[in-house]
Amino acid sequence: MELLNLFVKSIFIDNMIFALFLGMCSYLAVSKTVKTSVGLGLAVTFVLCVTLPVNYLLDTYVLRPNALAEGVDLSYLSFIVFIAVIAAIVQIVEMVVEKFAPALYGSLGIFLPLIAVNCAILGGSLFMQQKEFENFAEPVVYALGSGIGWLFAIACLAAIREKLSYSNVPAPLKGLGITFIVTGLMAIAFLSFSGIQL
Amino acid sequence: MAAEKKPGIFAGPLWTNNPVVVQVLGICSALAVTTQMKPALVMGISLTCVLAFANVIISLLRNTIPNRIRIIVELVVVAALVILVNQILQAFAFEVSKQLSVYVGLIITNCILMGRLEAFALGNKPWPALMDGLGNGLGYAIILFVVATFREFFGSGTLFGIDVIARFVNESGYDGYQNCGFFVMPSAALIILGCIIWYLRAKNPDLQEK
Amino acid sequence: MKLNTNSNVYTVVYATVLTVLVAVLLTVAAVGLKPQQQANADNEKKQQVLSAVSSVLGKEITFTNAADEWSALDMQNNMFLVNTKGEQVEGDAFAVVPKAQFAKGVVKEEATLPVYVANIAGKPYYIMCMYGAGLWDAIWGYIAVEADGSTIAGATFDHKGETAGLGAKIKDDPEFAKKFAGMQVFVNGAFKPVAISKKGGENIVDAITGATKTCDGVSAMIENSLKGYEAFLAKLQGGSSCQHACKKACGGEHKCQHGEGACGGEHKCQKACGAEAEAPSCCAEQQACEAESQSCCGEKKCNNNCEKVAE
Repeated sequence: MELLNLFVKSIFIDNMIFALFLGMCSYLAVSKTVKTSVGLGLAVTFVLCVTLPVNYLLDTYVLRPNALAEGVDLSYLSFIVFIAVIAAIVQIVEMVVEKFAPALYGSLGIFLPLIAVNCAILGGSLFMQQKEFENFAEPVVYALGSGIGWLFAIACLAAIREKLSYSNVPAPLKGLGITFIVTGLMAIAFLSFSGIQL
Repeated sequence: MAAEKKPGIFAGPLWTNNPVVVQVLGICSALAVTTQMKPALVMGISLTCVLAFANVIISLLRNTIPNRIRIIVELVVVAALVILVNQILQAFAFEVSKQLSVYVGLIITNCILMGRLEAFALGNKPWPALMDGLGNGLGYAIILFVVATFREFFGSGTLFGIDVIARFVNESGYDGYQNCGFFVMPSAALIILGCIIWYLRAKNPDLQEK
Repeated sequence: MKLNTNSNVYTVVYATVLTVLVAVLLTVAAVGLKPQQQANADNEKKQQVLSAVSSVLGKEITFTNAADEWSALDMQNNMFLVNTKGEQVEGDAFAVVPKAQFAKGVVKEEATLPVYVANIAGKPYYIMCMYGAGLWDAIWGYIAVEADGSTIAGATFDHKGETAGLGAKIKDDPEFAKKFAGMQVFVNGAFKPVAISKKGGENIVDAITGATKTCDGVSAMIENSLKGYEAFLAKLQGGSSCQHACKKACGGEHKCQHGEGACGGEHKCQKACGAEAEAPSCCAEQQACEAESQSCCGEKKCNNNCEKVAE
């Protein structure tokens, strides 16, 4: 039950885009067509699901105060460890996918290098650390939920932008400006999810 | 870009080539930390420091960095600087560091950093790199500050935590300003930023998208 | 010599040197700044504890003045740990992490809970920790109870991730916490702590509009947390305000256990300690009756109690 709650919450209420503003750069840059944005969304979900549990284990058994040995507090290293893990895993995933699943590589591959520096990935790990999950299932569910939330958000925006390109937007607002405002309005819509409880 | 004069490197990013609203980099944290002015200011200063130092360091190392691990080296340098900033904030600006929470850490993946390091520091001498870092950092800080001013004033009726509206407006007889909760919400940040871009592009038609 | 920056050896050496350099730099910084950071964390805890009695003190406790107020009230020497049976136990009260004393929202059987005693204007206020779950994430706080073990003097709340502008008001809106002053933990002798509801009523604090779930969480948190302190509070009720004074006067903890009832000053305390009263609670009420004949003896219940003792 708690896991389901966490899952729904990470998709809708703590949505990475609308509530936490994570991964905005690629969100804005790659949301022109639905197809590519879904590809990026899937890649983000995938990488989140791989890196977050790894970082969770590292955090729990190495970095936390007294985790490695009594009196050893390595928590100040967490940023650098997390980003290194993310960068390394993205590299490995890219190589593995290229070798064993060329078809998947064709659709996700181009996004993978982008993702190493996507704040959604590092942000996921940092929020995971802050949330102090108690067992291994929670970070996995959280990663999956956050990723799906991100995918959901970027797919919605891309669909709107595809339609928007046929409408007559004032010249200064075209492109970026209207995208921001649309995202803002979508965030208001997502506010209506806050308050649901399972 | 490299052909420009030094003032251009520094002053350009402040407004006409602003990293946030023109280059569209580093949006994430620009929105998340702007409900109040104080954290926004601290965030702006932190990012400026990290960016300036990282730019200089990478610029100094630019001829020695092995090309294959270029990105990782950049990330390590940035991450180390961010950890330093985070530690210092926790020690000397504890309350603000709590408000900023993970967003200090997210400076690491702030696209402004990687963008400037890749685009500028790797190909320029330390001095212009420093100027570029400071300029972009401050450009980012200005946007943060503007957005935060709107959001704090209308959302909480305060500026820097001082209850301006309650003190000056309500006291002089116009009682009953209700704080507009909308401005505290995340969506307000997006819309304000959208409006800033609108204004900027209306003033400067060169930036408009076709 | 021209280095080949693309060779494997160079890359590995470069990476190693960089890693070592960065590690050393960061470790030095982290170790150097540790004391300051710890002091900040302690200071924040002091601020939260004292915020529970800020209305009694008549001033706001901020991060800046927390340490001064803390030492002014000599809090360092006025805190102890109690277990769920209400007995004092050994340990450093300040170092106890409230969260660790709770499991699934209720106080663990074997928990040791901190009690901070703020002596303000000659009266002790017992500050206790609370921990629970709001709508989204953890909520916690401190609640101060007067010497009678039931009347709430103040409370303070904090949260991890309640909705900004709605649930977050439990922390951001100072009016909310103020409403708890004067509420009760015990009603007619039964454990029934203050609740939060939209409906209003006796011993109920108005809920925050639009934050019903968070308020339910706060309600549950107060009840569950104070449940762990129930035995301790019952002892207070039964009912002394001056455990410390009593100890001094009686010269021993053993005697005091019977005579804790007396209240107000050393003289009364000695009396009570001397008496081998079986039911200290009645004794206390009797004394209260004598002192404020109108307010107390006017009520039937009190009269009955007093008469029983007289018998």
